[in-house]
Amino acid sequence: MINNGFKLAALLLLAGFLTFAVWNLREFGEPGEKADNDVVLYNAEDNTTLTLDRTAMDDFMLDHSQDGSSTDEDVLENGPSANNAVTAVVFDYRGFDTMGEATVLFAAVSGVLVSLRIALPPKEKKGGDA
Amino acid sequence: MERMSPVVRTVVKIAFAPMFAFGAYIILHGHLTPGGGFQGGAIIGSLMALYLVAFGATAWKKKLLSGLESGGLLVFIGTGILGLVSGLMFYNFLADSDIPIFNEAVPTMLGYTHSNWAPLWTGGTISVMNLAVGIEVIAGLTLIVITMGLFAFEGKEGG
Amino acid sequence: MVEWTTFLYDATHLMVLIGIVASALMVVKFKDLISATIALAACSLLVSLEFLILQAPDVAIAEAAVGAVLTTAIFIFAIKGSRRREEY
Repeated sequence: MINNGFKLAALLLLAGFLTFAVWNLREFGEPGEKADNDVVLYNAEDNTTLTLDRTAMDDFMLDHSQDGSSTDEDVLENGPSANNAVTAVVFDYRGFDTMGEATVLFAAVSGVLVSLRIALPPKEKKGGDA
Repeated sequence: MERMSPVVRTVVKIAFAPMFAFGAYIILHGHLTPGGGFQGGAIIGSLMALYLVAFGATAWKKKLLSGLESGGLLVFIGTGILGLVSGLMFYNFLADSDIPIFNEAVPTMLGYTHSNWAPLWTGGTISVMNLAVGIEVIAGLTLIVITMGLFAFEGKEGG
Repeated sequence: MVEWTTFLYDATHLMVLIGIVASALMVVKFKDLISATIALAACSLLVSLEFLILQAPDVAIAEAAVGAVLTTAIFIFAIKGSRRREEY
């Protein structure tokens, strides 16, 4: 009975967290609407602050994902020359993460091949049994 | 693994070419439309799973698939490391360059809302990585399905 | 006109969410594991529809391909290798 109470409490807690998260979602297509959407950057050298909209990074990605690379001289100012901004982020700006993802898939396939390799020679197994 | 009924085999035969074309489209247009290497590879991998379930798995080349998987991962990592020539890892050194691999410039249309047009021969290393990841995912998922199918059926016969 | 479209959007969204919860309950309740696997595939398909409604087509494609087809095939192979009925 106590176990059931724990389960009910955990379920209610999870439901409460999810409802809270749903209340805090912003409207689709209106990213800068909420008042607490600003990021304040502090520069310690000359004691100034810089207030940025939190969607500034989205705007940077959208502006720079179509730029070409090698024509300009400054490396950091150039984009990956792709039309799809999501792919530009996944394969260029965050290419290292995608490499980890591909390595995880490789490790999973290697694990399956190693742990299930008993099934590879079925005839030898039958011959050994007979 | 035994074959399934003629109904299933005919349906898989009919659906094979459109599904393969759709997956290849998703992989090749990864830098233009939603999708990419993993998504298109998962589509073709599920097509391979359908084919294996319908036709049986014994005659498939595991060595070739293992080589394709390792080769895809190596091409991906090698493309990332080649970006070090320009100073950054995973730097897109092919875009807008003189090397004739996916090197066309994108016609920038910021400010226009109606179209986001670009030719297929763009993207630089993004397209190369999409192809590499697509091949790796196809080979890996097919290998998983083949191995698990063989293990399930042979293990049942043996034990 | 705009409000009617918004109502249709919200109604579709709500029906998809209810379908996700219902198919997830079916996965837990079924004692036949093949039926539970089919219910899991239906749940994955509805989740991919939900991703499409939330405007994430990349994730929707991946979820539809992996969740609805590959997971089902692998689970059916695993069930072929063991028992079909759940017992406890």
